[in-house]
Amino acid sequence: MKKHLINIIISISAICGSGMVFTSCEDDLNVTPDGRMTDEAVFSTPENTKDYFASAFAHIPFKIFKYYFFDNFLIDMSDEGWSTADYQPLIINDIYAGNCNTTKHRFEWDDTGQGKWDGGYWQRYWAMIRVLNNCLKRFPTAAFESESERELCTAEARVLRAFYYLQMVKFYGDLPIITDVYGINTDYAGLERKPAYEVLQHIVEECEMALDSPNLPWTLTSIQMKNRMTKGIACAIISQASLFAASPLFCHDQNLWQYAYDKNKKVFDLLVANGYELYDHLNDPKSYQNAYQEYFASRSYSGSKADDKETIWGSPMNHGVNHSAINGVPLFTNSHQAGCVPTQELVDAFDMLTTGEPIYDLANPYVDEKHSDININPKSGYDPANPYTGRDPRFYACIYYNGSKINTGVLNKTVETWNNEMSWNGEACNYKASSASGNCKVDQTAQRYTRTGYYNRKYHTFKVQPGQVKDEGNWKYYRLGEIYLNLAECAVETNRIDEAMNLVNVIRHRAGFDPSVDKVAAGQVEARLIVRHERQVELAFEEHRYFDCRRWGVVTEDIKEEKYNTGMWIHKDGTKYVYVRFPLGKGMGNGPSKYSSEAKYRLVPIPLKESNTLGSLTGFGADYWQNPGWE
Amino acid sequence: MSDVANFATNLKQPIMSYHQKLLIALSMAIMLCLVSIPAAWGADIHKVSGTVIDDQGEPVIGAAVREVNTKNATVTDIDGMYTLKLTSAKPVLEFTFVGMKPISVPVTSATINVTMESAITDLDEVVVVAYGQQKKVTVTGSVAAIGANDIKKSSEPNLAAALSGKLPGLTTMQQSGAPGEDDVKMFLRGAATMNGTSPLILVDGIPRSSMSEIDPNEVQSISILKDASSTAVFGVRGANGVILITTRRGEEGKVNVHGQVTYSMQKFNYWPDQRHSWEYARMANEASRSNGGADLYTPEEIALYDMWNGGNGPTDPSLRYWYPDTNWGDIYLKDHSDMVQANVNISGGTKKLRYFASAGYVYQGGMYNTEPKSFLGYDPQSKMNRYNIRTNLDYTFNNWLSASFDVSSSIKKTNQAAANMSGGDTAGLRWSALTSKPTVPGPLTIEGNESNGFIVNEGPREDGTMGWHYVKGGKLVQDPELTLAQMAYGQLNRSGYKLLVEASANAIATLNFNLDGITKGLSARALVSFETYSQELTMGSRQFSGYLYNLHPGGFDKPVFLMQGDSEDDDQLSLARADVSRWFMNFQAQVNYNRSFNDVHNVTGMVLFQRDDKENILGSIPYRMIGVAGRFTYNYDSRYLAEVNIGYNGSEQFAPGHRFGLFPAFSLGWVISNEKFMQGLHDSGTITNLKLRASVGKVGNDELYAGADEATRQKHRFLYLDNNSVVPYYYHAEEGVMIPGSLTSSGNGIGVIKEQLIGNDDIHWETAWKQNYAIDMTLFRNLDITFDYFRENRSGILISRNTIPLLGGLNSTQLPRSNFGKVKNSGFEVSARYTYAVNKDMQFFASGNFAYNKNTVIDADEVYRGDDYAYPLRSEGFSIGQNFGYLIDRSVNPELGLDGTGFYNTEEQIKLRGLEYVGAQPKCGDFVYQDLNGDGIINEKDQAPIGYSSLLPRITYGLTIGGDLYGFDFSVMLQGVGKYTRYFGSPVMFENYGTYFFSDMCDNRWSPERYAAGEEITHPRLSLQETSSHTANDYYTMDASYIRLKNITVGYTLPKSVTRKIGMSGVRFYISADNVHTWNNLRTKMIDPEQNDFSSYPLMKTYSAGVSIDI
Repeated sequence: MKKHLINIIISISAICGSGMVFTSCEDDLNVTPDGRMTDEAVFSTPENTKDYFASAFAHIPFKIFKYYFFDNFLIDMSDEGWSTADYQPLIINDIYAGNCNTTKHRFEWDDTGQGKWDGGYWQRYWAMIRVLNNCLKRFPTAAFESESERELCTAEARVLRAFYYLQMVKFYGDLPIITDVYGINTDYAGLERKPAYEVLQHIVEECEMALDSPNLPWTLTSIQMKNRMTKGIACAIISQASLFAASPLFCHDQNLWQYAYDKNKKVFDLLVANGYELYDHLNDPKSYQNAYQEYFASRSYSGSKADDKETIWGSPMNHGVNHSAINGVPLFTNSHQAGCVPTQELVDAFDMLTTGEPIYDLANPYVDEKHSDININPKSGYDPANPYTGRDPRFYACIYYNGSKINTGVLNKTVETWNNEMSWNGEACNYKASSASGNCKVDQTAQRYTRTGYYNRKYHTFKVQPGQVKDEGNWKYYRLGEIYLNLAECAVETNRIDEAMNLVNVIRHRAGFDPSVDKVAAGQVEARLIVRHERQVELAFEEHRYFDCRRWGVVTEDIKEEKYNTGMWIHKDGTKYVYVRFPLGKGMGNGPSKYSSEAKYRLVPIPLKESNTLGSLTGFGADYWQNPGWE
Repeated sequence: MSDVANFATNLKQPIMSYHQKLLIALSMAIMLCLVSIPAAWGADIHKVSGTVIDDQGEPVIGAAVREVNTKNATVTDIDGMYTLKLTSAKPVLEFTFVGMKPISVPVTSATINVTMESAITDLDEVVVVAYGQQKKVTVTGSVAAIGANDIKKSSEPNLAAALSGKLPGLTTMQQSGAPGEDDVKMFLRGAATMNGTSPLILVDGIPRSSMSEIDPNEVQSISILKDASSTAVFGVRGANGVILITTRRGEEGKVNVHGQVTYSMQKFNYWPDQRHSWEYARMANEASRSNGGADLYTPEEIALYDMWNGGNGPTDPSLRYWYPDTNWGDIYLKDHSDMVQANVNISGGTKKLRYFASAGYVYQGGMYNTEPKSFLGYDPQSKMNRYNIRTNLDYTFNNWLSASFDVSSSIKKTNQAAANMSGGDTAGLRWSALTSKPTVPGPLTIEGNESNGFIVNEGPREDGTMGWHYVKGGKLVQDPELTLAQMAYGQLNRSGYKLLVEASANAIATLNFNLDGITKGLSARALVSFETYSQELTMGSRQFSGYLYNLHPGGFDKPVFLMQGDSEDDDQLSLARADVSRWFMNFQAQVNYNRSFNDVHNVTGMVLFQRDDKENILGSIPYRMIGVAGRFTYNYDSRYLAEVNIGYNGSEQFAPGHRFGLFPAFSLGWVISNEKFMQGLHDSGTITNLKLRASVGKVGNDELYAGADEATRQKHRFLYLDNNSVVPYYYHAEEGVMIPGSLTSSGNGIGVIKEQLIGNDDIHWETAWKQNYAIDMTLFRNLDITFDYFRENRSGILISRNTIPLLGGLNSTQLPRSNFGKVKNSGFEVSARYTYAVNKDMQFFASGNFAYNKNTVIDADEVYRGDDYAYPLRSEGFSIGQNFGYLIDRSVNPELGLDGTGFYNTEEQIKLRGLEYVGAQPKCGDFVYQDLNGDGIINEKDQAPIGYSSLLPRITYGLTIGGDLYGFDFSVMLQGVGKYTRYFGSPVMFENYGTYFFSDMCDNRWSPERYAAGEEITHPRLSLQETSSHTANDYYTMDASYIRLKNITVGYTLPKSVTRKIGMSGVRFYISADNVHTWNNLRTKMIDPEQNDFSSYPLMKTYSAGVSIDI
């Protein structure tokens, strides 16, 4: 029995010993710290608060050629540009062919694996808005180093949120206004899309609140603050948002032009009063022909360059590639693609310098839908046999054309876009000249060669050296020149014709027009044509044309400007050039150049899954959440 | 005592080096052999002798023969003979032998011959269940098992693959046959969750992540636990079913040394045939023309290729080279590869110590035709070497304490080409090899000289002439349409090699306490297990050079080569190494109770505590799990059975309050055949066994992000916590200035805080309510039938929310999984085994199983797509993995241009039908799709379910017949699946992939000529661009059911009379064939229906021969 007892004791202690392993059960299941923080922890130190706020800057779009594979879709799609990636199985191909749909709209391309491209806006912008909503909710109680910093960050968060919202309205139109932080259990029932103009007015209000901030600066005070929000940016957002709110596409038949004028007038005055002015002085006449060209070819952020007071917000992005590589001319050794090349429509838009007159009838520029030829404005002095002489100086700043001079390392090389090998439809050409073709000829498929007969020059520095990317022109999100024309448009629509013409003329003076050929408009209709025409020229290749052509119409109208776009086919007949306008696109005039000119392309579709989800969660159905024409 | 000392040492140091352990084990084994040689002694009054045989007529060697009530005893010799001098007056001999019923015989004559019967009767047959064993007759849960012999029939080196078709309810899908990488997907009773569906695998009671490293020779039995009753004790890990692998252990008495060597020859089961160049060139032209493109090959070139058709090619040697008919299949692949499997094991023991020790080796060669190591300096072949060693020791200290100590280890070396292509493994290589054009010369250059004129173009010289030199021989030739890196020959041979060495060691130490001293029937057990795994990847990679060829270069009148890469020679190898290691610890303490009262009340009970700690990758936070399990069984007179199983687990994946869950299961059984009223049928042998059983219970699953890579899993752990963490701010790094600039602390800060994950502290595990109803019966003593019907309702499945709009600013990576999913699953299994013995030397058997499972997604938080969708829901209401796609309209309606062929045959038909397709518009030769919603547009809204799920087949079955005939044994096994559908819309299947591949399906393509000629057309027009036909539709989505002749084995065992003479107890020679033939319904003969895709290493056909020897 004693032996048994010992056995029992040993056994029990052995089992208990094993059982000891389990004693501290619940504690053992608690997480070992691994660096994760709760919301409370994030806003508990000034450092963390700011680091969290910093994540809201993640999806500021890069613009310029940071769209998928360097193709600026907005410029490609509008009537001012054409992509030389059109023979690649890339996004632009789908767009030109009208193959976008609610599951495959290529603006929604998100490609974290492929580098950082613009796109995926629906997801990215809402994500940023959520972060900023959280900031604005938490900032009042969050830890900051000082009250002034708290106030500054609050104002900045408002402006940045307004910026993201503005991007979204411009693409998608009507949207819900969300200022709360949505969680996983948020009830979406009854959530409505607000009419676009209401969202835009909300954006304006947010920025007006920021303008009252005592700490938000008008411009940046140090280079390290690049991309941080300023009152200047708030003003620019107010200007654009109010203009868009009044525009036909977004106003839902409300007449908001007086509202838009008031807002624009106010911010214009504020900007001017706070030191913003047009860049009208040429510093480097050896390299640039005019101040306009020099302005775009140089790099500046708001307030970072003493002699640039025009830029309200300049992008700090370098993109890692040269303009000459991405929007290049084959003469550049580093040219990868001609990229986004100017169309004949853009070239036609530049006036004659001496007369100040447009080369065509502004009310009715082309003889037919296919833009086969222009209705020449006889007063202009335009000579179709010498189309590139005597034009608006901005033409020479923006376009490489047949005969323009270029610096490739060798000074003054001539760009030759003529082509005697083939005709524009790919057939053998009658012009048997001694030499085969120009050095920058039009090609059907090669990426490095133009499709239209022109190459882009805006943003190109004069001294192109592959190693000097940093010195090249940067993207200007907002500049005072645009505000002039925004105000001018509002002035026209509110029948302030003289004021509008004055604003337009200031812009034209900077471009190089003599005051003697100042614009005068007989009435609102003519003034509207002049302002819109001026926007097309002054704001070329700045992504404005895409939105302008869309917002000036209603959502059921095709975008007629973009349906047929043309290029210039130049033959060399002996020493003489023969100019033939030709339709762009694979159909060569049989069918539109850009099927993306269909009405539905005025707005970007809501991603299918999202419209379905919202349709069922809100109870309004998927159609309510989809933009017109998309399904 | 030295054994005990050794053992104790081992216990204290469970992580001592493997080699030490092996040494100890082997020395112990040798000692035992010596000890067990018998010594006889006795007095000299009478003498009795005789032979002891078993019921098979074979001598029983080593049976104990004892004179009752004396110490006088002996054992039988190798012929079963014994001689014993008797010491008592009325002597009675007792014959005992392990596994035999003891017999007592009064000595009445000087010769006593005895036939011993096996002690194992049907009633005593046991099955391994969770944390223990049960008598088969009292099992009420759903358990199926196979033994060692069945497992070893297959020559698959991978244990999981060897189970295919053998166990009712287990679905195995072998997706690749690559040596050492042939991992097998397993499902028990189908799938009932969108999350991980892998069953829990336990080897000797310890969870393991995979069974593929286990040597089948080490395995005693494999049980699968299918219903709630058998799996409830695993609680939160048991919902997908459990596979229990039990390794072999030594038995008292017998010393058995077993050696076995098998040599196998392996071939690809399927590999697509390639086109000849003359055929290829024509098809490529046709495909180009169908989109309005220009011909890719000129008539002159085709004429040159035609010279290979039935001829010997162009006579001019340089034309022969430039216009070849290259058979890339022959260049890349060998006809067959070799495999060798060998194993030696020893088992036996005494009352005190029992042992099993095994050493195994597997070599599996690869199918690539690689350049020799002597030339390359390394071996890029795909091949695998695996070494397995195991020692299982059981030691009985005294009547209340015994211990087990198991150590096993495996080292697996897998070698392959570095192949630095997309995908990171050799998948890209196979894709590229498949789509190499037969019109491309090569693979290597021939040294250039004056007569063949093979030169390298150096470009224009200063003087305006073209520079050149003769080409070096033996260099890679590059297809101008591909980059050098896409050339499979270079990637296979010249890119380097990749050697993966995986080593694992596992030790289990167990103490068993017999606590009869406290109360009869009580025992306890404590166990600690430790496992380490390390993996080392050595990658020797290099850039290789090659020549691009140009058939029509400017400046030359003949084809030239252009140098690619930065040098004409291959670069040096650069070596990189990467290590991964992980560990796993498991503690268990268990109390068992097993007692009969009054011979009719049989009670058992079990309570088990356990705890897991594991680190999955180096540096990860360990995973922890704590659990208690219990089982109580009661049976009355082996007639009425009842069982309760309970699991109670805690997992750190969940918030406090949601961590612990209780999983109970109840089951009942009624053994009708033991009832009095069945006595007659029982005794007559009509129905010897008839049992009804039923179970119901709840099991859980805490596998989140199963199948995801470890880094993803780590990121998504602790979903109940908010995760804001500092991440690098990389977007604007180019300028060294971060966007927010001075916003971050350091001015050009390195991090921002991002919301990585929004916590959801409500989440808990998924719950499965399972029911099982079954009948077991044995008819006519030789036909066993089991039928199981099951239902399962899985709820709270952790799925990603689909109905959270992006509008809220949360994207899918920030959302935690939520317990939203619901799936129901039901099905049945039947298995039967029939044996028929004509006589001792002629026996036959047939066994088969058939299983059916069907799951339906009830809730997947799915977005309702809209009423204008033909199928607004794509997962709810369908099985997991249901295929969707366009239906081809094969109806006849002349007004709409439909002629019943399913194709647009004329432009007019396209116009008449008037359908607008989203994306590419159809041309003649494309499919007409059904416009299911009638809106005139063919888009996503018209997609409809096609066939069944591609996740797993609904039906699986296996059938084995075999027998023994005068020393010969044979078996034939068929295995198959049904109601299984797969979409083969992968690259290779579509012609436009890579440099264009024309599958065997293209033989029946649509072309204007073939249509005009009225030939049979099943395949759409060829195209070098994606067409409207190149999408998921009911042409490319195919019935993937199949029947396989899985294994044929014929063996011959030498008669005992022969083997005894050479001092062996058994010698068997055998030949076998695996995957002999597959019957399937695919539209192509290029791929195995089980194989993952074209880039996977195909499954193998294996022909083997071997010998096994028992001493």
